[in-house]
Amino acid sequence: MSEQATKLKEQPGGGEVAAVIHDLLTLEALFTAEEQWCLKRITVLRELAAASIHDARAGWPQSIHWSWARKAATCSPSRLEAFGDVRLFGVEVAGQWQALLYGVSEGYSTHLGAKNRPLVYVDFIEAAPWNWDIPPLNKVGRYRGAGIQLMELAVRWSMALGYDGRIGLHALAQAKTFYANRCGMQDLGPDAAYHNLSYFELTETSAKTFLRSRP
Amino acid sequence: MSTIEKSRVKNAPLVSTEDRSDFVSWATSISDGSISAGWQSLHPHLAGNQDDAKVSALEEGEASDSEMLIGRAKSAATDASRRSLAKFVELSRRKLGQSIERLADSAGVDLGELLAVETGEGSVHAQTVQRLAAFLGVNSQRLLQLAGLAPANNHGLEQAALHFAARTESVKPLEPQEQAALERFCDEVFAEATANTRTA
Repeated sequence: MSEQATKLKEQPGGGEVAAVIHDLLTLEALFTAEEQWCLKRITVLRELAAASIHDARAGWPQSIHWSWARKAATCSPSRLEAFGDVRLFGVEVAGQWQALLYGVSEGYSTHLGAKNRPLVYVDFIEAAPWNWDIPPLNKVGRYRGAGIQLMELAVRWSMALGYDGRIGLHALAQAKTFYANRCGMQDLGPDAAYHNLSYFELTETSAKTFLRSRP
Repeated sequence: MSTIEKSRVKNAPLVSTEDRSDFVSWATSISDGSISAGWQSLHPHLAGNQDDAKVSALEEGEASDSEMLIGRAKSAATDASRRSLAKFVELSRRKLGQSIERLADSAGVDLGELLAVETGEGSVHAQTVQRLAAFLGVNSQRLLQLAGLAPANNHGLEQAALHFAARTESVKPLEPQEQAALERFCDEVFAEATANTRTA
């Protein structure tokens, strides 16, 4: 595991907070993160119930049922080893995981431009529940900047692999704006082969622009 | 980039030596409170086209859970049928651009069973084949017959399976590492056997 100091911004107020970006995480980190996040998932559900927002389609966070522990349990540790295809990244503040990214380097290829060129596929990415914006509850996330810094690492990994920064992912509907506007990814529309989630791809050119902070 | 080079990259930390202050300033300037990407079902065995598979099963009178059988054990399943099933699923998956893990998740089937289907070895339940059929949009009865989980009694199907299995075998030249591995295997196994024969 390697680490690098960084910063996030805390809301409200916008004060800077020292954070650490972690690369090459082990599966154990995913279990730890879910231990930290699962109680907050329940808190959010309790708040939605208290606000009489019983219909999940009425703005419930779409990843509220996720479990990184389950993801860890279904991932063979060999996939994280030398010839494996999985790499895990995370951002942490004072021992608490703020966001995680599960990237895959093999088996995925481009849909944009010349077809079938390899890319890094973001199989999973999620922010900690306390960092979610939940409009029906008028809640804004506590820390800003964790998710996008994980996407930065995914782009750098893609470049290191010789994939020129190309990234692909399937975004939940609530996250489409983030990938289109913040990351500069192209929305290729619903993917019938993957639960009709919208498939997004970052091209080589957009990857360079993204790293220059100007999507 | 070779596999070995990739593995080096994979293990190389990505820590940037560049000044990231501009990027971090930009990254923290706007909320990223909705970033979730990926798919996770409520439960792995409740994922995918379960309803479709159920409808399909009811329409075609397929096996119930209690009738789940191991494909290998059914004598009706010829090797060619099972190999053609393996090839069919593998090529369909690659056509969709999906990894084995992704297809297992998408179709709501157990990863180990999907591997068994693609390798043609090990146990496969009828429900797994039905779910794959529903996900790939093909007739589940036919797929069950290829798996040896439903009576075939269909010479045309067996012939089609035989030809499909044969035609989809790779004719690509060996990769250098495959060539080297083959030669080494021959040296280690057959050379020794030949020497033993001569000695005897």
